[in-house]
Amino acid sequence: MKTRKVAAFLATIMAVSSTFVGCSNGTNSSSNNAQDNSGNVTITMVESLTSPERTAVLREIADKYQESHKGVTVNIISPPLENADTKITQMLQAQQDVDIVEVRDSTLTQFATNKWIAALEKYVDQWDEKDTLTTSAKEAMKTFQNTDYLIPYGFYHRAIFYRKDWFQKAGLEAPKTWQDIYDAGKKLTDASNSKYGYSFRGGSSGYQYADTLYWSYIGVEELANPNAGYYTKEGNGKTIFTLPKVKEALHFYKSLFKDVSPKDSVAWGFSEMVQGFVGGTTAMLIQDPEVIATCSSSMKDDEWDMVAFPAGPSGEAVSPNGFAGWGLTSFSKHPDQAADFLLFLSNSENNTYFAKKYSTIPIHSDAAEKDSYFSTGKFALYLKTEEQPDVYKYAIQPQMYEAFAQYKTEVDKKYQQYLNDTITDDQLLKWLDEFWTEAYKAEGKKW
Amino acid sequence: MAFQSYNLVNINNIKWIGFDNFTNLFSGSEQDDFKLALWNTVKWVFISLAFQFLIGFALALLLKKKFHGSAVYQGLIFFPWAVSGFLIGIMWRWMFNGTSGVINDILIRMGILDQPFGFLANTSTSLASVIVANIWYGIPFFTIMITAALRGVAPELYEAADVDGANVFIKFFKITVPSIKSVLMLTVLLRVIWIFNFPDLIYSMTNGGPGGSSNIITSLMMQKVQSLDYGAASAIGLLCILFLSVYTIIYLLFTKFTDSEE
Repeated sequence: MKTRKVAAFLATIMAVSSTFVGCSNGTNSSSNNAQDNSGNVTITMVESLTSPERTAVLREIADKYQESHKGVTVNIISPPLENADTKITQMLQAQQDVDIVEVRDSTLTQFATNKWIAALEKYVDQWDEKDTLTTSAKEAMKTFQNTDYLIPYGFYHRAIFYRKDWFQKAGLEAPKTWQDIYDAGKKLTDASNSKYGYSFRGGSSGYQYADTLYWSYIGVEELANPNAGYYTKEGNGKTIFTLPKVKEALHFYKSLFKDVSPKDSVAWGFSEMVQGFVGGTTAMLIQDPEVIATCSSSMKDDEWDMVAFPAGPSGEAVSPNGFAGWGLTSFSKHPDQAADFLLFLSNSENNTYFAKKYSTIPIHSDAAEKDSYFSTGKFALYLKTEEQPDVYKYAIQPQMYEAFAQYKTEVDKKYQQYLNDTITDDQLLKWLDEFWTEAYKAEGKKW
Repeated sequence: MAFQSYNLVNINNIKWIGFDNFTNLFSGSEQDDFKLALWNTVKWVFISLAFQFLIGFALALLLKKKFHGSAVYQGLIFFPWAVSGFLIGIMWRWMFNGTSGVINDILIRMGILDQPFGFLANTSTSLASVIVANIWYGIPFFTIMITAALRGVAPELYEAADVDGANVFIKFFKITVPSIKSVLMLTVLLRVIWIFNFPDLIYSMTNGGPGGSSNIITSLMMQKVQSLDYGAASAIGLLCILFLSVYTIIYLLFTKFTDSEE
């Protein structure tokens, strides 16, 4: 009996101690090899939108930097794509040895509010290449509280990728509108042969596609500000989710899923939807230009082509002006050295090279002169859309709200419930409306 | 942490909020998700356990007698147990794939379906699909434990029963089951706790989706960690410990575990 009592006591201790594990505040920043005795410096950089190809390009640029800066080592950390931002947040919170971090339009507010990333004015003002930055790049840098918290590495403008061979065989024209996508998709869908019209995204960040539909239905003029795409110009925090046209767009969104997309796509994220298109399951895909590289390497030239983002009933084709860039951590042990590398990474030569390899829209205005890649071929499409500003417009979710971070984690589940008929259109729209009305009340007008 | 508003989205605003994280789960904005996850947990644990136990027991009885190639066969049966839960999840996710999965292919060839069905994409089949994968994964554990226990039962008992003219069922319920009772109880007790704490499969197969339909409370907790709401995650974690402690006490009392040993 005695041994049993001892065992029970030990078990209790273990159980109780395990409940207190979470109670430390976790600021055990280790300083392992940031600087060794010989004065060598290690710069650690964490990326978020990871892909093996992209990491290789970054490594190449980092190696070039190391060659010209003896004693400096650049260490690149690439967490798996799906949870990269969560992982990065945890690293920043624990103040691990990180000097440069990938900041996305969707994480900027969170990182800057928590003071994990530093203002870059000190370095940017003295930068000899700051004058060739495009207007979009300068605007992106000043997104949060008009302070430079990042240097963007490129922009993601979405376009339609489609199977040229399937379209020709079926006698279809390249899609120009959302309705075209549905009609062509319907013709090309043959579920018994696992062929579908459209690479639907119902998994992580799927809501962004619903949003672009809403905006294409109502038109950007109805919005309070294109950077706060959930609020109408009526003011007082009135959201777009009560508008009848938004409900119509939501119904269309569901019909895209039900009629022309694979059933599994309710859970598809970036890699699944691209895989679906490249692997020959779906005929159309709406994605960022970074997919150009994947398509070029995995498909024959006569199999695919690109057209501009589809327009909605308003006549406008509204997509997010997405961007991402590099920020400097506020707790970096070698801020000057890290900033120097950050500027090296962002200079016209390296950025243009990166943008070409990774197919993003470059940040320096002399990129097209430097490389004809950006004025010819698939990329020429983006130059054409720039020439029609009354059709091709940009809008984005109100990412400057702190509530956005929470929204991001809950909204996909709600849409999935709607797509699976667990909740109705009214319930979903009510949830969206209440969430953003509440956010406006709590945080006020932030644009 | 469970009693704090601890969210990495805004760490400058961490404060004590008492039982708010808990009331939120039971009656606040999280109640639908949490109640569904709780009910799913019950289904996940007991359906998985029942099938794992029955099939595992049956296989153990078959493996009791040595036969030609039984060692190879045993090795094959134990295989799933040696693979990581995440890998198994990925494997089953492919098998259940709604466009090119092997399960859809078999069902279509058999004429049961005329077009692929999205098992993991449908709110009414997602939980059942992950349970099937979990059953497959858990059978070997029971087979291993019960085979070992069966080999320890004295053969004289069966010989004596044969002399008395007992049939197979009587031998099974009067000799086999009582002889290995303590092993059975221990394995069931352990398995309930393990299955309860096993969100790996769900995480890699559906991540609780679509729309939270295949969440159990441990996978819901993982999602809360991912969404950086550590306060809510800790609250769920604390509840898990509470549930399991209560379960263990009730189970031990109910089966009079101590009595059977002494």
